[in-house]
Amino acid sequence: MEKIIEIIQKRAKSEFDIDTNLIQEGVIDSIDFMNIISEIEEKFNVEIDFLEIDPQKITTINGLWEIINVE
Amino acid sequence: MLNRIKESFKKYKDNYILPDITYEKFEKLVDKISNNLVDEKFIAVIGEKSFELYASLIAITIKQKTFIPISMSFNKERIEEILKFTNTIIVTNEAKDYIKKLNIKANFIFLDQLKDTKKEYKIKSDYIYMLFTSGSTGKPKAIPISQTNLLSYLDFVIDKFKINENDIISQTFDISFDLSMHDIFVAILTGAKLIPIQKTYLFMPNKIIKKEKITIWFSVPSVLVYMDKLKLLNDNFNSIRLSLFCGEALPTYLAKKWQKATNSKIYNLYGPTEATIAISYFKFVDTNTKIVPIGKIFDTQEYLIKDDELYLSGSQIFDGYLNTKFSPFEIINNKKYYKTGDLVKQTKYGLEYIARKDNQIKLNGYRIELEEIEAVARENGANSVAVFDDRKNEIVLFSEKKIDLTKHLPSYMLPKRVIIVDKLPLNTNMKFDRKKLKELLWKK
Repeated sequence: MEKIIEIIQKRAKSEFDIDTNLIQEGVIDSIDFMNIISEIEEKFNVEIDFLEIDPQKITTINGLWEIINVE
Repeated sequence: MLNRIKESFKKYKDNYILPDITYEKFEKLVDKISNNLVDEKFIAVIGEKSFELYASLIAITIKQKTFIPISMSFNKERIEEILKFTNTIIVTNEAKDYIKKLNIKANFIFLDQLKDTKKEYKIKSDYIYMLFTSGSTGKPKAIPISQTNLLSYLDFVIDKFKINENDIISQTFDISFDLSMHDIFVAILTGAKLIPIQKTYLFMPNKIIKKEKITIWFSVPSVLVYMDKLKLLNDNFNSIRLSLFCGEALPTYLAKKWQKATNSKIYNLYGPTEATIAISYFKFVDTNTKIVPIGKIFDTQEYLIKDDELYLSGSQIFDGYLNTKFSPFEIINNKKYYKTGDLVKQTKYGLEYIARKDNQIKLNGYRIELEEIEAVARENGANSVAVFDDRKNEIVLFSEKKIDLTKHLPSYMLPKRVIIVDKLPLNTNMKFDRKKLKELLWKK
């Protein structure tokens, strides 16, 4: 999970914790979010299936971590 | 406007304006808020795509006052600029914590503290709403939109797109963006239902579209960029009958993908805030251009093209900015035209957008669009901003990556220097801040 936090930390505009909704709270903008997703897919060597994903989940660190571990 | 809204409330009282709110219930809240206002000409409202937010805007409208929408992404400085026009901010429940943190001095109306009273007001305004330009140059300009402006727009689009009480309309735009006024007022005047789509869902709206059976989709083209990246455009959204895009250039390849996913009629709309929401449309067909044309000016409005710049006239054009003496108008043949600052060209498909006039330069006799250089850099994988250094008479490119454009641009368009930056600065509108980079260049 530290790796994810690190990736987000690079682009964060304000403070956050692992349950903060990063988009709704304005921690990262939409362009950054797309870059973060690409970076995570690459680093963790996963391909996330967005058709089935709950948007509320993928926009928190906890949720992202869970999704990566399932994939 | 007042009568049209009241008629609608009566006629459609059993319809749903939101998934769980009927027009009757909506009217009750509107009525209550409208009796808890203060007697000022302008009243600000802060909130995010909610029942209370929409009701607050309409409450101000029916008391013939002007609302100023405040987005929950505005900082203190920007809100204080707005408070030069009014002392009062209506705060919806979702915005309470946000406004407390900002520590702003104003008269707040909290929606959980409304009283059961009747109130009459003396001060009335001709303007329905007022918005501010993004202010890429100088301070934000205040744009007031009148009843006539807004009704001209609404009557045209409701008729053109045959919008009716069976429609289920997406609400994707932030309220500080005038395109949200389309969603809200079109729904209210037709008895249609609104589906608010919050920021988090805007990347992945596929489930909401299906669940709520949205029939009219309206968003910025960026939403398609995200959906495409997340491979969501292979899905099928067959409830959508009409798709509208506005606010940025619509790339043809995305319009094609969306057409396949929805089988809907797609219209690309264009219009500056000063001309009320949108003033031209193009019914999408593949024109073999990278960007979908902006098409035809609404039949009810007028235009001309002078030195490539689009000039607009008619009932949708605003009266003028309220906080600056700068006039964007020119009288031609006894008619007042608004100079858009947008460069266009007339083609067989109607109008095509070229660039902003501010970003067009002349170098060695060539006319060059800085945005075109950036577009080529983007195609080659680099985010960049081109800046013209007037003192040295040369083009400088700020880029997030090393890039060689010699093979991709004619020599007269080539930047003299490329300056690598970690991250390009963004302005409040989330666009790259050309002005800031130019200042940086001059300081060096």
